Amino acid sequence: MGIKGLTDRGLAFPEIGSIRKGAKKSDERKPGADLKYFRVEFDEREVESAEIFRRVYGNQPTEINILLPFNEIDKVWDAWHEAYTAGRMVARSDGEFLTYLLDVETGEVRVLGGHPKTPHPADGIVGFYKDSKGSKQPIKLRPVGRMKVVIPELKRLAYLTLHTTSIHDIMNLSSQMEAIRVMNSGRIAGVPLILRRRPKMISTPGPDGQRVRREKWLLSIEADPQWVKAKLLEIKHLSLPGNGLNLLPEKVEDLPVEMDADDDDEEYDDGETYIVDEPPEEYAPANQNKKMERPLTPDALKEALYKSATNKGPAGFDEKKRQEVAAALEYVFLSKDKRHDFIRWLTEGKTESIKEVDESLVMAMMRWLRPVYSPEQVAFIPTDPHAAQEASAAWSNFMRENGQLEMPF
Amino acid sequence: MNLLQIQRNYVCAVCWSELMIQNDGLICSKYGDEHYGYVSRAYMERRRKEDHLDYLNAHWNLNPVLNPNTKSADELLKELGF
Repeated sequence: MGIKGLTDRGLAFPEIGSIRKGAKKSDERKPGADLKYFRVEFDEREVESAEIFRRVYGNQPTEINILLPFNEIDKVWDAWHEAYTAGRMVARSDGEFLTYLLDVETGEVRVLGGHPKTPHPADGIVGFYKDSKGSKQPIKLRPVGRMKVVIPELKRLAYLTLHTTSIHDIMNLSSQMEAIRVMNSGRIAGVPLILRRRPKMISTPGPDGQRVRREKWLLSIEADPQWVKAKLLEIKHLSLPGNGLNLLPEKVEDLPVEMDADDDDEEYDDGETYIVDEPPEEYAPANQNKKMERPLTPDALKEALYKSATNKGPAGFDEKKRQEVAAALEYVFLSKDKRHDFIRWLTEGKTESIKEVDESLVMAMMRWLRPVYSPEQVAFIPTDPHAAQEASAAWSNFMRENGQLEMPF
Repeated sequence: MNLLQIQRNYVCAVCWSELMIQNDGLICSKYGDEHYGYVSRAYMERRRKEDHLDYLNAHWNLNPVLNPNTKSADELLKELGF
């Protein structure tokens, strides 16, 4: 059965389903029975993705290929102790201190963003509620782990959320992700991984209070063996004198082709790459030689672009540069309208069309965005690490000034 | 916290629709009691603001793996209407 309405949130990078370890709850107060396979549910409208998934993995998968969408572990993986009552979160803790606490009686938020500093209660109790018989029941913090995963076979920029409430899974997944991050120089996004269920004997509380050992099917993420082989080859290669170019017994052409996607080299075919090889502009406010802190505020960005346009003029301009700036803005905003809004903001409302923007200002934008065509991405990508964020902030600011404060991206 | 306060400060946890009071309880105004749970409006707004950059990051990180192809820069510019 599908999930209704999950994709109604209107997000560009949407959640389209969930991956769970247990069967559906038959009693609201108890978790569903633990399964040996994954229970995967898609949003009801994701018929095609659900069909592809079933075709590839069947109805009871024990292994799923996954990719993580971001390099920052905390953007991919949420691991907390959380407490809920009547469907809403009452408290969240990092295991040491509470980061959020709601007073269920008054509705007052007592802890927000970790302030004031409140230790994680030793018994895990953060409040009480009255059950249907009127007796007082404790609200307890419990471990919760959620991981955003992309399934490569779906060929979609959309994620499913893997859920677990097992402390063993949470510890396991946290350390496995960290190991992959360390092994791959801080990068976890795009690494081909396999999500598995593995049987393990663990100690759990028995009915009489004594600990008993039970078999539980825990979660595990492991790097694809082909990727590991390629990585080990790379490490071996780097550790040899002169990078061991002539000494390696393994043939480089034996490596799987898709491994190129994880290289840092960013090489593109000749004739399809447009790199602005000028050094990045150092934006400085008028009468100061100090480098401005990035990301720039919208006002500082505008000032820096006009200053750069005045100082450097239209040198190097041709119509193709104008198109590349427009294409890079299109990539940043994913929308022609937003790109037009940005140009209106930049030109103080004089025009929304980049075709009417002064050549010097186009070149200043070129130096700011530093767009590079990526045939893999089929897009002109701004290579300046702050440009996308600065452009988005400028657009939001412009919208806010125009009375559309709460409008989401 | 009374129902009106919860209705004002929270939205449906699944689809982020408004909540509706029914039979002394709150339900999703779009999917009724098929949806369970609430998230705060502040959380929803933060997630919406982060979404655009998340999409760009995920696109940058994963598009070469998910959609490898060979379109040239000129073809792309033409497709974008330049």
